[in-house]
Amino acid sequence: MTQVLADIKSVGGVVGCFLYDNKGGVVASDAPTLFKPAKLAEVGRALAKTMKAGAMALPDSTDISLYFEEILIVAREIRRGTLLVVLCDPAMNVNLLSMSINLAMEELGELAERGGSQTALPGAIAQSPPAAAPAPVAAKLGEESERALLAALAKIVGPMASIIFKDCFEAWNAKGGGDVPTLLAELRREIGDEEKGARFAALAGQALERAEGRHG
Amino acid sequence: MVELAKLAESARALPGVKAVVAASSDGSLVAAIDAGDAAEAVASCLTLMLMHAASVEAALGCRKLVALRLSAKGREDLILLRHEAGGLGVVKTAGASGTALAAKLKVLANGQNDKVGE
Repeated sequence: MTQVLADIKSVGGVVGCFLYDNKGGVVASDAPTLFKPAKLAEVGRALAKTMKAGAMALPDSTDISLYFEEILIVAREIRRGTLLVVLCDPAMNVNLLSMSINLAMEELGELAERGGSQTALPGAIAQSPPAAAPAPVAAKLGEESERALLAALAKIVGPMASIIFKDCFEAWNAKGGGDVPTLLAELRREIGDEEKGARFAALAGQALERAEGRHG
Repeated sequence: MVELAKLAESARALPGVKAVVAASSDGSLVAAIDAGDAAEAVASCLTLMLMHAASVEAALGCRKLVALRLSAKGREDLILLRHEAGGLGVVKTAGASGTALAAKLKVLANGQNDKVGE
């Protein structure tokens, strides 16, 4: 267990904490075994996305707090792409926690650095290797197809389409810009509703056919 | 629950509130008070944030998201409240208590305006 995480956990009201990296997943953790590593990674991923969406409304945002009836989750961006996530009692004194995190920032930065360089950490959870270098996208998804997909998505999710599309497109691109069905599957997952997802798939299929027809 | 547009008006009247944006669950702008030209973009962001927060909720098996707070160093905070018709985003002035404001917003959302001062 890393000392800096243990120090944060010792603050009254803190249940557990972990470091989440966009590329490496959960790189260090001091959380009760009740919180399974896969769950922590899922929470970290969703928090990173929430923070990314929030940055569009409030640039330079560094902290995010989610107040649930049973738990308070506080996340702080330690460095670009790395979050410290703290799970607390809902009645926790957030100012006290914030001060404790401020004091530990330097050590947390070092821990994130070591985690990012794939050094084996005590308390670290095995992660998949970092994503491959991005491949050029233009060859796999033309501009017209991109516009067509975005338009199809807008018909399903409305004004959020451009944000969702950008997120999925960047993630897909970071993984090497695989085949288009992978991108479509990711977009369907983000829509989060089976029926809407199916409607999107149908619309996207037609839109892509038309776009490719114009090219071909 | 109080209608979203009405809730936005009541929220703006609270001390420590600088601007308010209300968004429907599809990310469309429902109401914007003192939010400037970026209100529509902010509405989409709010909805997206609440959507991702729901993933956290599902992962941990939590019952209910009460509020979400986004803070930037040395700047105003953004407090989000989930509503059955979408979400409400409130920009807090520096110095105002975010926790107290979130609690007041929750009371307002339940239509208990007379209890806000308690």
